[in-house]
Amino acid sequence: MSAVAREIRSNTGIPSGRLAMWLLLSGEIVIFGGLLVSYMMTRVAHPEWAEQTHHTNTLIGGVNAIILLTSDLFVVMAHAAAQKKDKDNAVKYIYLTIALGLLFLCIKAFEWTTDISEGFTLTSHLFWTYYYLTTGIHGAHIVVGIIALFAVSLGVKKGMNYQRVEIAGIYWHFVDMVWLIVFPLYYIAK
Amino acid sequence: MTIEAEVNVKKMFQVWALLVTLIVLALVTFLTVGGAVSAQVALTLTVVEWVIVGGWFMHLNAEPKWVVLLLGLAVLCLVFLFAFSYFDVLNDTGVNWIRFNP
Repeated sequence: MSAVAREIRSNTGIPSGRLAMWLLLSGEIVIFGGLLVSYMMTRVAHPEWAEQTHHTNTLIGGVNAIILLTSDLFVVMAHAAAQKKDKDNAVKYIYLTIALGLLFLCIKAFEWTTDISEGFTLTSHLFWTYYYLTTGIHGAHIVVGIIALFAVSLGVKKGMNYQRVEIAGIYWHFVDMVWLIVFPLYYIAK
Repeated sequence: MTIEAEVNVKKMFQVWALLVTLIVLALVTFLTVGGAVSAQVALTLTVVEWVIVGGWFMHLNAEPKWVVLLLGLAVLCLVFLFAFSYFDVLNDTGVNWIRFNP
């Protein structure tokens, strides 16, 4: 990977916006990490939860992982276009990322609706409490990512703030990384 | 001035293809082998996916080392948080508590 020089506005060696994003993500690691590690500990203590975990749809979890990975690729391509100040392609790839984020949410909504209609609700078992809490917080992060990407696209459309594409992209990649651990924990470890 | 990673689109396609292959591999292992083995394989693949996404997509390999240390510190906080409670929580009785329905 080659490198290009870029103007900075902080003493840390990296641009302020990117620094803020790394600080935000270090907090997010504790939020999601706390939830996931606490689930893992409880799951190890309760092997009988296998009865409940059997009902999650592994195929849907896998498809959603591939959707988010593809959206990752699009956000990287938006970043590449932004580096060349190619606003049309940058906006196009941001919109494609948003579209895949919305598709992820639609599939998640379908999955939740199916689970709830089968009687697996937030209060039916502690496993489902963890499941809805984790996937719900993750879904909320997807919504925030979509809003952030849309806000960034407004600036890029005007030929401004290209550097924000990368910052929003870092957040988006992090949200995808969370799903990459949610998938084996809730959909494969049965 | 600082250094920013320049995106190589062709390489990113290859990285994406590799990541999708790893997800498919986890799914195939689940469908063919199943059980604890598939969970262990999937969790191992997740660590590999994290390294790839973090290094290539998030360009952590082009950031100053202290950024990686900052994220590592957050992970370390988690480890400490859970390490102190782990052996207590996994028992039926602990310090000042008894499991309601052991």
